[in-house]
Amino acid sequence: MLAQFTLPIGPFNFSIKTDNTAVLKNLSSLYGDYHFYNHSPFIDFPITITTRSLIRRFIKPQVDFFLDEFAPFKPLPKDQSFAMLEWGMNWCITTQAHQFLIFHAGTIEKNNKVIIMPAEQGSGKSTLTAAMVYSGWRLFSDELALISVTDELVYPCTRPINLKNDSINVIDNYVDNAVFSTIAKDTHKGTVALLKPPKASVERMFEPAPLHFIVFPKYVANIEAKLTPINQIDTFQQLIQHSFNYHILGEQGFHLIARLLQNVTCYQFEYSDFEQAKKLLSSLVD
Amino acid sequence: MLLFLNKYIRKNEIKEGIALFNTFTGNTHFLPHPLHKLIAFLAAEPCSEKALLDVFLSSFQKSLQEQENATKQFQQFITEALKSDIIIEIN
Repeated sequence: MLAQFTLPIGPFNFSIKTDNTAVLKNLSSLYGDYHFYNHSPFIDFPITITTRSLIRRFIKPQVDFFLDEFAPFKPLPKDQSFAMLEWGMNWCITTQAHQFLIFHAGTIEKNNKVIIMPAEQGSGKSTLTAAMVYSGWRLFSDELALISVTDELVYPCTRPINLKNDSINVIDNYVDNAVFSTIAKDTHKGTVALLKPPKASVERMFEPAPLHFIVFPKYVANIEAKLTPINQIDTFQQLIQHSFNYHILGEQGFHLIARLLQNVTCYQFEYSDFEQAKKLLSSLVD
Repeated sequence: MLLFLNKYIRKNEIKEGIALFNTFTGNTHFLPHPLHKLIAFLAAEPCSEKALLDVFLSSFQKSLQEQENATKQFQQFITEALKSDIIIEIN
């Protein structure tokens, strides 16, 4: 039987329809602090996660992701259904929410000062974000920085944190009573688990805040944490590389980045130890 | 021959120079100091390559070595800027 409900997350309303018990179980566990509604007058993204045909329910079961009637992805094994929902939600935002300039970046806030941390896959961005938000920082997102093209504030998209491979154990050991989704193995990203976001961040997921720092993080084993200032040309170039929709926003995105750079400070950030990382990043905003 | 700033170029001053965006191609370019002066000069009015070179050389010491290096830098800029449609040359 299909369950259907609306899930508001930051500036977006997702409608989720599913017959998948793993999706429902993980939603209930990881989105326990969110408000679900039966109906909403306005939906941004009508999503369906559904099990394939009757035969595929029993032989190597698979699930499909639909946005409205459109299936942008190939089906995935059923045990990856919740991860597929999360990846699909990211896809919806990055391909359609062009009221924001969107960067692939961990995004955290403290004292009304937002730090965005753009980085490649596998740079430790989500792990660092998880450690920070379970140490008093507010989670905006571990994947997406959404900067409004109208008011130029950063908007939260507070959702579970996507952890991969070794970082799952690292955060499980670091965060007391961490709540994880069921673990999806052998995905195209390796072993994946999602970490429940802190309740305090969920409660403030409708509050945008101004950008103050751009920090490009890099995990380097056994290194003393250090922030190295970088110039605006390098920052501009790196931001373009990490943007999902700079090419779509065109001139608007160009002027927006240039204006943002007038008021922010930019660093390369190398770290290996969470305590040193926390101390250094806190020194920027305290 | 006159050099023009391409009408599709939008510009923004940044700390270390200037950022340029070509609204026709969607490409972004960066020019560090002191090359950014050339864009400001061309934005005001079209000019010959010689006049533009004189503007550029005025930023440097008069020593022969510096002027030679600056001239090389200028020639490289002209080549790249023409290739990437930042500036246009008209007979």
